Amino acid sequence: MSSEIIFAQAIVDGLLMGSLYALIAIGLAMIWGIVEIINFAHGEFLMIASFLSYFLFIYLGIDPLISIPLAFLTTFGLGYLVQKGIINRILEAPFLTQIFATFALLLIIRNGFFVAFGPDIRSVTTWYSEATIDLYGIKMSIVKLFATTIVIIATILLHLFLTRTYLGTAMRALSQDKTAAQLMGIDIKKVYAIAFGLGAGLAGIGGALLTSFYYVFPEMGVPFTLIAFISVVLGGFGNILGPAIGAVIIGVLQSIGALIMTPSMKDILVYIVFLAILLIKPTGIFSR
Amino acid sequence: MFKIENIKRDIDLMIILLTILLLLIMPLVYNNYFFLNALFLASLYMISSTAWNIMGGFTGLISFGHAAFFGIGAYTLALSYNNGLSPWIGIWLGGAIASLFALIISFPLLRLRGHWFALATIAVGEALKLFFNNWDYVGAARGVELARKEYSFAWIYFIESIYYNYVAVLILVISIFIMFLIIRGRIGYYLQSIRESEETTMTIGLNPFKYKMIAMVLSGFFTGVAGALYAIRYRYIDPFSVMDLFISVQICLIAIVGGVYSFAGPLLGALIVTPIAEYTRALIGGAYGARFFGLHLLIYGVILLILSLYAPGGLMDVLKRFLRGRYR
Amino acid sequence: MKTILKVENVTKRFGGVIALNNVSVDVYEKEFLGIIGPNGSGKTTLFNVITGFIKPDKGRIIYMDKDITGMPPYKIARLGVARTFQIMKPLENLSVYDNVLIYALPRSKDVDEARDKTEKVLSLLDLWSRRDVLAKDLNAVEKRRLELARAIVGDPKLLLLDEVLAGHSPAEIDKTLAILKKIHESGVTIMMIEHVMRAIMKISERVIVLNYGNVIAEGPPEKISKDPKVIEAYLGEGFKKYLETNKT
Ligand SMILES: Nc1ncnc2c1ncn2[C@@H]1O[C@H](COP(=O)(O)OP(=O)(O)OP(=O)(O)O)[C@@H](O)[C@H]1O
Ligand SMILES: [Mg+2]
Repeated sequence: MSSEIIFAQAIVDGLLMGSLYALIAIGLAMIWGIVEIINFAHGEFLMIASFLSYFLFIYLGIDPLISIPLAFLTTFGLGYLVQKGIINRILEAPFLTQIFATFALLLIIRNGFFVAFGPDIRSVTTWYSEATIDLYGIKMSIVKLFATTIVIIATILLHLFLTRTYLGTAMRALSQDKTAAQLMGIDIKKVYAIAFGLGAGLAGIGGALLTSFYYVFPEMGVPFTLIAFISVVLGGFGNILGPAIGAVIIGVLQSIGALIMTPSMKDILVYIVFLAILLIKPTGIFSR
Repeated sequence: MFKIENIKRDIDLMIILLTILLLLIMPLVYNNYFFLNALFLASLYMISSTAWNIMGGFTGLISFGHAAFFGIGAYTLALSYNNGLSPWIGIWLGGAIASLFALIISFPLLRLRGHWFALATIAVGEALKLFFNNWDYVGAARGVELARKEYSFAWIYFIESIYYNYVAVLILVISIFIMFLIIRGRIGYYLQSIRESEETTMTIGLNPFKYKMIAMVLSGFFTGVAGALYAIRYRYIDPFSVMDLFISVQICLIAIVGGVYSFAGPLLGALIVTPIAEYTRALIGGAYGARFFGLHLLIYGVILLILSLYAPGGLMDVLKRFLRGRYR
Repeated sequence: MKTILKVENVTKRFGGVIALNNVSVDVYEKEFLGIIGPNGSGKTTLFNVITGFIKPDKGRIIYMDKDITGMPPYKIARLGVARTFQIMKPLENLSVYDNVLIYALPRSKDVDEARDKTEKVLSLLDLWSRRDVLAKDLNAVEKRRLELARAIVGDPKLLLLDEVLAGHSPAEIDKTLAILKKIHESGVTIMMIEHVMRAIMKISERVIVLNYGNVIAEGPPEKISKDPKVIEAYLGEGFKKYLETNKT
């Protein structure tokens, strides 16, 4: 294979993976921007959905791609309950307490699954797991292509929801100006719960998509949470485009990085880039 | 400050004294390897979580990267030990190098606030771990083993593990005492003022940046000391045993569970949490399989969630409510 | 009379809004200067510029013959300039006592001296009986008193008060005014922003009036209250809001 093809292949892989990261990052950004909470347990919602679609496949033979709506609804519901039962009670608490709460959630979910299902790494093989399309020598995995399509559809639906519906408008209003939103008669706590649910639900879609080509295990959320954070830091959380672009950039950088660096170098680089972005990007970061 | 009637009214001081007493007596009462090990770990976490709390609880700088300081302390001790330096100096040198690292990273990190600061500390900790994992001078992924010396107090090398406990208590007493004096003095007040409002703090002529830096340097120092103690006891370290995110999590969890708004909260936290963690990990995990290694973290999570909803001040809060009236 | 503070041609814009438009103010040593003006006229911004929280776009601040423009707030505070915040920023999770103690510490040689000062100030402001309460649990008037306590415990030379009477009942106003008078008589120069007209006219030796970032009048209280420009400013856009804040 010529080096151009290898390079193009890396870019395509990066774009496909980046779009999945985008979905997860948008979910994190929604919670961060609207509820003003950073959800350390974001990757855990992804993991829950992934386990769900794994078990549906193993026991009921339901294809992971078919279980996406169910995965979304489940994680949406869980997110809704988390906001209602926990976060809404500590909205006025010091930021220390809020951090601890989502961190506690991370520990409970991750280790709950760990205790329940053990540390084993599971995976699913479907008829399309290995299938690829060949485009001028560049191989594209069908699953990933499909995942990207789903991501694009979900993002468009989310955009329509945020701009065309009353609830979506209320959410945007809330992220701009809390007091004004209250004056408009918006039930803040309910909107928060729906926003958290949606954020978690997006991570859930990501999790279900991952099931068909990735591994399922209790700690699988870790790298995705990290990447989501980096994307949000990179792209901001004012709208859904920012974190999405951030995530796609990370995806591409990651797969090009894999070409030219050892894996451990690549990981160090991810953190260094993260720190550099945190420190260099002046708007929105230092003032909050 | 140290008049008897004051001590009786000062719950922090009471807990410090009781803890030290326990750490001194318990090894004699119950000289069992497993128990001694749990107590030793508790002492380490008492030092490092109290140090974490100088930043987290008193100054409001939440760090998820204290493993970096811990690891630097451990590596400093191990390398200096192998080069013939007395560990009695090496322990403090570990603290010094860790605090130097804290000083250096404070310049960029202190430009960040709140969430952003917390996120950046995770990145610093993980990046440093990976860096050590690839750095040949420090043994990369193979880690460092402490050189064999003659069994002696001078080299802190013992056959019976109980002696390590008493070394730890000695270092703990010194560390806690110094931190207590600092936190009860001006600096402690200034740090709390910064936690509550940097703007208001500036109106009395204090430079918040300077005091946040002091908090980081102090916190780094004593966490490094704790890391050095780890190295001298277990005599083998690698990046994943002394710099992992898990260590940062453990350090801050103990402080949070104990209570971040009191000096002695982390002591209480370590005293209660470490034995629980060690026992669930070793006993249940050992008997029922690897999956139960997650059990103590699950328990932490539940405790943490309950505390953040009902007692954000941690176990100290609960204790104070219980004792209300008798102590201030 | 000697000037302690000179604000020279200061301009500050926020986006399209001109908060201060070429403002010059002289403050004389030991005087009690009142500052009034409709909402949004730039009063708080003036304080923020003097105390270093906001850098002016143009102009200079001279304090005791020293150019302090652009100095960080903590350095300006060290020169003896203290302030209260209109939007109060108490140390919420600390007791009233500790709130004041912290502010006494930097100018005391040890903790004991700071404790003495704290006790004096708390008694002066009638907060002694509330010393163990957390600052966040105080009522609005007590919180204003706490702001004041913190500002004076460090023995400032120049004291900037931003609406310390807000939320006070008439009886409480008289009480706080009496305290302010005592502080003033001890030799402190005071600049006070206030919407309660009766109070500011009673206590100030001189008043300046801001409107849309401009100083539109300056002089003794009797003269100011009759100045047609001032009456017009208050009858204009600001009038309604002004009435609202004066409901007490
Ligand atoms: N930090 C800021 N960012 C943007 N605009 C600001 C800022 N501070 C003040 N302003 C604007 O500058 C103008 C003057 O505000 P300022 O707070 O100085 O008024 P004020 O006279 O203190 O009013 P009030 O009586 O309501 O306290 C207002 O239009 C305000 O909206
Ligand atoms: Mg104002």
